[in-house]
Amino acid sequence: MHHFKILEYALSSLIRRKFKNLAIIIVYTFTVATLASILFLTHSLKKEAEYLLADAPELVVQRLSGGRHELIPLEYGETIRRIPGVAKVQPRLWGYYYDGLIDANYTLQEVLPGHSKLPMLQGRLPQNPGECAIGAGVAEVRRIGLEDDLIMVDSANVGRTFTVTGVFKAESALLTNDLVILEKQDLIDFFDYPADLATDIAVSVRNPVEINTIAEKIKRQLPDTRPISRSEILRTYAAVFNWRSGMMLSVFVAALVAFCILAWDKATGISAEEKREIGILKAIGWETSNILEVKFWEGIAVSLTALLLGLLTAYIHVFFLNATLLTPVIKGWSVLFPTFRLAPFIDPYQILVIAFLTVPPYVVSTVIPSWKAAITDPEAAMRG
Amino acid sequence: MPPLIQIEHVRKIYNAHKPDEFCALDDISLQIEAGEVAVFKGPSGSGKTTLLSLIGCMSRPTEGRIRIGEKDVVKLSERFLARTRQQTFGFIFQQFNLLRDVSVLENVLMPLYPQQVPISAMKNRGLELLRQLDMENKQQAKIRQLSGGEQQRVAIARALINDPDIIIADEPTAHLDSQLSADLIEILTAIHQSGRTILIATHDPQLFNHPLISSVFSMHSGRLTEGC
Repeated sequence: MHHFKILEYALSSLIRRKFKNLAIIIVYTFTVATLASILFLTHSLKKEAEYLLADAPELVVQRLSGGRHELIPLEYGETIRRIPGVAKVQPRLWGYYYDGLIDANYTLQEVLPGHSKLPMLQGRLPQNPGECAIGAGVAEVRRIGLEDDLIMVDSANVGRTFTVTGVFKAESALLTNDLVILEKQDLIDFFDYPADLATDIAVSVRNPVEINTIAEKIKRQLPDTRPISRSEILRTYAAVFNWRSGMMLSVFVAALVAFCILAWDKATGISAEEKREIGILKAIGWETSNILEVKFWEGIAVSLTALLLGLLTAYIHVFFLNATLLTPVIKGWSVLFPTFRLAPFIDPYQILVIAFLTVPPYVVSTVIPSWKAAITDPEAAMRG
Repeated sequence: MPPLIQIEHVRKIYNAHKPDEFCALDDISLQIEAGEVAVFKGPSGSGKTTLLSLIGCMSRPTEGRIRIGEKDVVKLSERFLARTRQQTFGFIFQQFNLLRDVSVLENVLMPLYPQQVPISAMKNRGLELLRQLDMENKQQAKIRQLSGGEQQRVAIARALINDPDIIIADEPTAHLDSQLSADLIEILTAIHQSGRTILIATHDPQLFNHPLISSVFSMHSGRLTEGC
């Protein structure tokens, strides 16, 4: 029962020193919010990448010419199909389109069987010439929706109109955000692709452990190609995001150190008034453990409040405000894309790491100086 | 039956073995029986407050022995010392030592927070004491809003909330005018009549010449000069 009363005393003590505690909570919240924003954003991007690559083919084969990506002959697909272990070969047509109106890049793709698995916000995939399905980002920047027209200028500099039959959800934004899906013939006409060429070839493999062997065989039989495995793409994403978040975290360390100094200064520099209060409490019969309990609850209340506020701020910043302050650094290339909204993926382990990095140091820095005052004779402590 | 308070050859040295070493008490021995009202008089710096803080277990002597009832408090651990302060003593400090931004009632109840006393019982006892001291209508006021005399009555209520055997009052009339001093003596008389032992440090003749006082100890430069 007395623990409850001590908790009540600790909370009323915090309210009595509200300005000091409010200042600490604000700085503390900002620090947690910055750290959490970096971790949330990085994790979310990696999850997005994993999500979109989960349904991606095990291998993508590109043709290289002079080190550059070139269109690949469809007959290469037949050669690959004959390699033992290959389950399925799918030539794919796609290309990039620069929209000068709003200064953004779109990815134009033909309708593929895999597209039907992607979550649609509204509508359906194109089934007829002159139809298209678009990503949420394209819909947003062009301010169009279902049944509206999307006008793009083709390779012959002629404007073409496509009716929007579907809009993708933000859940798979990394893949679909800048996507425009067209009927195969529309895409060929738009880019003026030769009929016997594809952009690349997606290859499915029967046994996942044989991916590297099959990639080797493709490389040997078709020396001007580059097979890229799904895990290689995933590793590249992870490396890029880790490198960028590492860079941000390095910058953040300076802020964290500044916060620690401030927190330590605020918490350890207990005032003469606080020392006197500890002396009075001891003089009227409080034990050292009672005073430490008060200070412990004070530390917990401040740090948990700041932690929760910081996490909430980071969540809003990353998933509602689109990580406005971090996006240019972490995503880098995204400035070229239409606006990118992340789906909220949060790793509980990261929350624990943030809590571990922020709560115990603050609680310790609150309790230790009070402990020093509490083990002093009450008579001396009351003098401040 | 041993005396309630027994002090033998007590010395208190501050900043021992340092250039500013100071002997606040030197070879003090005395006894006080239960139910007495003892006054320690002497000029400022004579060691009255230091002696009361040693008796009240708020610091330890450098040498000597202090017994409260059966307990040799010098040998007690910090934890039991705190418990002795809590169960045996009620303090009325010269500067009152109340928490300025806390309400009157909360200040009075403060000693009971770490104890296993239900909140309702705590409040009833606090309000009863405030009623006895004519402070009930100020229970929600903050200490900084009170006059010196009112603050002292809050300090008295806080000293009594634990129902202690011994009340220690350090210069209780120092901040009071003669009327308030007379009121205080009335309150101390009532406390004494309830069977408690009262120790007072003062240099106020109105107090140490009062018939309530049963023994007077004179102090000078850390030594007892009368009443040993």
